[in-house]
Amino acid sequence: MNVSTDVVGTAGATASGGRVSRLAMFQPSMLVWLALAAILVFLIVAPMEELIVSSFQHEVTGDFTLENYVTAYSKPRYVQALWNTLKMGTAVVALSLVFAVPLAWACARTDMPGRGIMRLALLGSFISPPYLSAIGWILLAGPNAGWINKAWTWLTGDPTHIVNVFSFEGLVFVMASNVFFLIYIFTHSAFEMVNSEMEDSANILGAGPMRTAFKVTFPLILPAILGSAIITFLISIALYAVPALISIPARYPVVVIQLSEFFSNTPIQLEVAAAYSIPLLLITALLLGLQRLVLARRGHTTVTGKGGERRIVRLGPWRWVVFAYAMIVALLTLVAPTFVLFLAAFSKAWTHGFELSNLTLNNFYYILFEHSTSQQAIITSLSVGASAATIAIVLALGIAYIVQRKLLVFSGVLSFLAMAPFVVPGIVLAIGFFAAYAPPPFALYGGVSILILAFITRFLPVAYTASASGIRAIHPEMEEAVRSLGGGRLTAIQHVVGPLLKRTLFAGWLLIFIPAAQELSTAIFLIGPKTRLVSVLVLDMSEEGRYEHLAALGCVLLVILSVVVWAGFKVAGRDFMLRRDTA
Amino acid sequence: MKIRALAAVVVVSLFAVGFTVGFSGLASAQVQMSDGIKKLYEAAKKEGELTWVTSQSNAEYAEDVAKDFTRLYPGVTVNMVRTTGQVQYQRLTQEIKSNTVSVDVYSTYEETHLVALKKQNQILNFKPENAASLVDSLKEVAEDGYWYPTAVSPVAIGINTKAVPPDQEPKTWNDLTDPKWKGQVAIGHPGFSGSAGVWVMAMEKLYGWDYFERLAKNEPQIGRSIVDGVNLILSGERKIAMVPISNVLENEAKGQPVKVIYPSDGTLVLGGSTLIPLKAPHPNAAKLFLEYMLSKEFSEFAAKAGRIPVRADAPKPSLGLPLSAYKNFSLPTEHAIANVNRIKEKFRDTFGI
Repeated sequence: MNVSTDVVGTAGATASGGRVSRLAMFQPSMLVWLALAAILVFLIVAPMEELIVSSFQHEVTGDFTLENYVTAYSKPRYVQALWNTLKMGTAVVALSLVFAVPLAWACARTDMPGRGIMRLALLGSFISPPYLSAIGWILLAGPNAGWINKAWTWLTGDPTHIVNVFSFEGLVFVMASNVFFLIYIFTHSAFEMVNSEMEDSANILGAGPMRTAFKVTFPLILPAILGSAIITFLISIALYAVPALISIPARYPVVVIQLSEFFSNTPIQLEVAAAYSIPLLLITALLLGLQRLVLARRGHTTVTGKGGERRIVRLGPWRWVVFAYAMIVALLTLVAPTFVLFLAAFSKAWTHGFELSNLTLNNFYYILFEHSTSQQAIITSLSVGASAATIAIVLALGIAYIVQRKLLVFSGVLSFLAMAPFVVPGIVLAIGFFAAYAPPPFALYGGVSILILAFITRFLPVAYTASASGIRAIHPEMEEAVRSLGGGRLTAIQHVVGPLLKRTLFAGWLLIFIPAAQELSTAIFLIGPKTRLVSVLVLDMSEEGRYEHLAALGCVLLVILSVVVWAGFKVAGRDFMLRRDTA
Repeated sequence: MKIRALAAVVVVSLFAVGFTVGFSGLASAQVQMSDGIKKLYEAAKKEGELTWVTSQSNAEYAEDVAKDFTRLYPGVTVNMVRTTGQVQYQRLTQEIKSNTVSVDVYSTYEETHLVALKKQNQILNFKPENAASLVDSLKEVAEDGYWYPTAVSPVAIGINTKAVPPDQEPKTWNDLTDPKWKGQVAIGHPGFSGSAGVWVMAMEKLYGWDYFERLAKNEPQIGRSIVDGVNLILSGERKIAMVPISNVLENEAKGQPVKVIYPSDGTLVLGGSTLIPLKAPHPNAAKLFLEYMLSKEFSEFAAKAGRIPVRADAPKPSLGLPLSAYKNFSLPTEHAIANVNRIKEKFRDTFGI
């Protein structure tokens, strides 16, 4: 995120510097600018404008009105959902910090054993979509039939339940399991940047390793923690999958559920939904502003990466305590729910648990060969994800190239627009897209194009950040060499920039493809009968309680995505996720 | 049209579960086709496929239906989409609004949606020749030229017989509010499920809204669909649930510890209808499919699968009771139209979700 600040800053400065001369020099290339700007307006400005405008529009007449806001906030239940969401978001962040920060510190700065396992677990969290881990936890912690409760009753004879996933605590826990790894990534890289010399000073002055950690190291990485905590908060309040599965049975309404209620009413209350989503948008914009402030104020000397060695803290016997904690976190957030899901996929009835007679391959056979929509859904999910990732990367690369090489005036506007979707929660983006492109003249509802377009928009900031950092790393001299030998700019791009960027771009592509292939929050309002996605199918199957089939479908998706990521390792290198600039 | 819910006392003693009817019609894929149907089939083959959106059964049964249709009419495939009544209506109205209708056949229990679509002039006018053979009481459900009954689904109480001893069994809907079932009941949400909406209206008529205040204290599990009720009692997650009986009967026949309790204050019998949207992209395939749903072949198929068939000349269902065993009373459509949105809102207020 901090990357983009720099981009906007430098580009803006140049634009104002040489405006007149450049305008005169680059008349034809203005067309390129206009084309890119038009695409960005189509993808970002129009849906957002439509969202805001329709929130002030009368449903039938289209006249200006504040009625939608009155309707959206007139009921205590609606306001309660907003309040619940903030409460949930805060609790999710708190729990995520408890999960992530000790782990990040242990992995980056200590001699804790099994750090490789943690890297693998992190990757697993990235591949596993929230709805699958939510299902895993429903099977584990359903109040009466959940395995944990059944095991408890079996062990103690006590028929009451000890865990209940359908509760506020359950909701927060499952959410945190799915979002904490972002804090981990940010904090981990911050820890890697902290200079050991500062810690040494503390040691010399007599502080033990723990005291040093709390008094010196943590204050230094606080900005990274705060920044990622804010992002985690935003992601969790906008996530649809987990509340859809858990908060309805838990009877704990949150904003995304309320939004889908406005959407499911007939006639559909699009304008009210738009009005109701505005606070979500404002909160996001406000907090991201705050995050910028927090990150801008950090001490630069600690993160330049220059000089000073980073030594590993020797924990002694403590390292086993830390290791146990890390394993517990990995078990709870990833291993347990995924394991249960796989087991259910191979079971005739998931409630029967581990029994040889209960094993079957029928669920996979059913999903892959009998069920009429699931093969198609797998293909659609993967191809929509791949198309969105490819187009987003190409578009972002074009913009980033122009911005970085200062080829056009006002390129700062382009980079600003490319980063703008970051402040739009996925579900709100869907409402904007729906308002702008579902009705005629575009009439895109029901086709794959609206999904692809919405996903491109949703993930454009990731694509832009990846492309910009890639291009910044290539010195213009290399292209100038081509050009002085008579090659055009396109030749330079094709033979120099392209090959040099391959790995970065592929890493960026993966960072978009994986979440796009599992996307639910944006897709939920944009799918039609012919454009079914795995995520939506999983949700549909869950409403019938067909967990064995659903688990089989989920496992197929996980296996495919894992293969893609494995291939990604081969091409982009093992660390593609941990690179701060692309995450 | 007049009958929305047929709810009442049931004569249980007459029919033992597992009553099967011998039948051989499925052995050959060749159907006897009238000239009209032949013509439709030829035209449908040119279209090659159709999209059928349904909330009338669980997905597994609907897929079997789709397969049976293609077996009888090779060359016409069915893209089946199962979802809940509210969701399918919201998606269809959106498609109508944006002029991108992809639904060819639309099956639901929500009569209010049918009426609304007719009012908007969005239904393809078609009179299937097979409609003449419907059961008399169901002919009233049809709106000639617009929609026809294709499914009958009694909704009752399902219990897990391992978890509920015989002397503890609930006898009435009212028993679901007994505090001894706290945390053990499952119901559907009228904001998603059309069947749940009808049920809520029927319970309100019987007991007043107080019924739901009492039920809320029992902390029922609220599902988006009532189809998952049977899975909840099978898994032991809940002991008793509001369920479409066919799902329970199927599992009982397979030897699972579940059974149907026909509540003495009325089993809810839902009559579900099917229509073709005006702008269906494959109108001939759609017409053929609607003819199929009213055909003898389909009624036999349904009966064999333990569903109540809609035709007078069909055998009795292989599981559960025939339609004639249920005493009917009508919940006027006007009542449903006037109340459906109100009860949805009220339900959300009472249950907080």
